[in-house]
Amino acid sequence: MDENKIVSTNQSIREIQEFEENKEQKVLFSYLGAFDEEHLIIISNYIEFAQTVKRTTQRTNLFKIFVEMSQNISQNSTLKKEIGGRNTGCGKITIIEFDSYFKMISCNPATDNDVQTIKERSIQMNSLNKEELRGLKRARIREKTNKAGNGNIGLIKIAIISENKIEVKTERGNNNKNYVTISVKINK
Amino acid sequence: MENLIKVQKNEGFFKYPNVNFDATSGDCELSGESFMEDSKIYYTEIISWLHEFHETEKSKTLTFNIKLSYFNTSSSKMLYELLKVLQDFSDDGQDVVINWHYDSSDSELEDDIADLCFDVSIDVNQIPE
Repeated sequence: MDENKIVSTNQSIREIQEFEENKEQKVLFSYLGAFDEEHLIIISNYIEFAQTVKRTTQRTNLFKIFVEMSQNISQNSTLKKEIGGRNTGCGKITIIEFDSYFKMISCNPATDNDVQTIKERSIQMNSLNKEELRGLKRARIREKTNKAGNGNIGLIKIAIISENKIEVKTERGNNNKNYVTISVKINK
Repeated sequence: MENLIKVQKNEGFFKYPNVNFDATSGDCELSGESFMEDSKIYYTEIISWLHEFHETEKSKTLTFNIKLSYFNTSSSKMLYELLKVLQDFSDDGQDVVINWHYDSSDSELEDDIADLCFDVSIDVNQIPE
């Protein structure tokens, strides 16, 4: 690999500028890269270590949402890296702490179909209460799918655990790829 | 028929449930945690063993104990498939008992179990502990 590519000044400047604009935020954690098992071990240990929440339920909820988001990136991101003979999805997860809640944000490139599906499902999910979300989850579990993994139940589970609306934003990058950002609040 | 036993070290990020299926007694236990990259591969072996047990030991009672403290959505889809398989065995005349143990303080886990058992016609004994 070209060493000059490792130290990307432009990227670092962008990230520092982003920090300057939001420096009141307490970013607990941010990771950009492949969501393979080796990195997931390090990240999950850090989440356990870094969070300041003492109540077990809250700690567990943060971890459970991380499991679902990381699995979504690993399986659905169109940006792949071959690790150990497997094509692993790449993306970014950030956890920010606010006074009364955490915010977990995931971002990854996605296919046009996935972007459309996630947008439609998030609108549907945000109109439902907890019992209705459970009903939707039951229906999705019972759907036949050939796709490996969670059959898109993860997003519903995130909504149920967080007890907050899910924000989904999509954007087309300069490279003409679609990027999907999913963010959710987790109450303290 | 051979027993199916999988004792997991689970030192990595992903967690695979322990499997202790006894072909002689018909007592089967699934315990620990379940979240992995591809749950379909892991659970397919479990379901294949159960099919073989049903075919060769249909006269025996199959007692299936689930003691999972956590399972992710990928696993929940396969756990539902497993329940449907056990329901089919029961419909086909085998005596099947399902006991699903859970921590009584974990209301979310209780909801997840209830959602999986929602329209399964075989009785699932949901046992808070």
